[in-house]
Amino acid sequence: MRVDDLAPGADLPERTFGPVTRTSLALFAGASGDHNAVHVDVDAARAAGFDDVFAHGMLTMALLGAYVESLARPGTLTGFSTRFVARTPVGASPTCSGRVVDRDGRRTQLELEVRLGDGTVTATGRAEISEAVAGAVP
Amino acid sequence: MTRLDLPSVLAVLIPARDIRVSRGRVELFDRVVAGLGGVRPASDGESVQSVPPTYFFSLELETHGLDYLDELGVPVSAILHGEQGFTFSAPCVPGDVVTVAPRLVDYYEKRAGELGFVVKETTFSTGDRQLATARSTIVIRGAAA
Repeated sequence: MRVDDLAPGADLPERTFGPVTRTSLALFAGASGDHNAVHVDVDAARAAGFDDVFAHGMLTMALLGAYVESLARPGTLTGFSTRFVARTPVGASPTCSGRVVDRDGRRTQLELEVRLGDGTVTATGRAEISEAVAGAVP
Repeated sequence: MTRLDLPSVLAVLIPARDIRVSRGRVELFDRVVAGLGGVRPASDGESVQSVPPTYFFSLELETHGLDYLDELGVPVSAILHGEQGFTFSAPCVPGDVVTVAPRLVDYYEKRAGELGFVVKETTFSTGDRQLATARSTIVIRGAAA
């Protein structure tokens, strides 16, 4: 299923990712270049006032990005934003969901959400899919 | 921590820097995200898959790290990522030489200075073609402490 098959107001199919392990946090630190120690070193996390390490916000956004890309034609994502509202602990399995909020010609606006198994919303976001722009890209 | 205010944040000038997009790094990024189930769809007829949308954030970490925090006197352990946005105007593929140009554009506080918010905007371009823009809001815990 793709976003362009859905009418405004329709829900996107949910998908659950993970679980997020300590190993995935270490690998993501290296792959993404985000070396903030609170994500990989429990001593650093405790020194900063947290109980344990937690996922990078950008890991949540990377998963949400893969989710949106899976629902759109390649090269049509023109806008993507996220607000990080709660931390993602080790062991969590984030679920991405969303809704088509508007379609103006060939431009579709999506509202997105990431939540954990216990219902905690960790991120909210928006994406814009523009079919016309993709054709114009050299 | 130095007490921040809008003029001192706006006074931080960040030089633009170039980076060649590394195929190996992009593949590693994709592999880690795919390992959690985030498999990216194969590109339609494109010979080379463009970088994942959030990879621009990693490009900027590669060119600039968190240097602006040093300039502001903010320790990395005090920051959280509040918001992140991107706009995309052209595909970026491994091998592209990308000019990364960040600038700090806003600073405000909430809860009587308990939380500070630095807003940074970055443009990514190759030659005279703009690829993407990014807008980051970084939360500083204990900004007024």
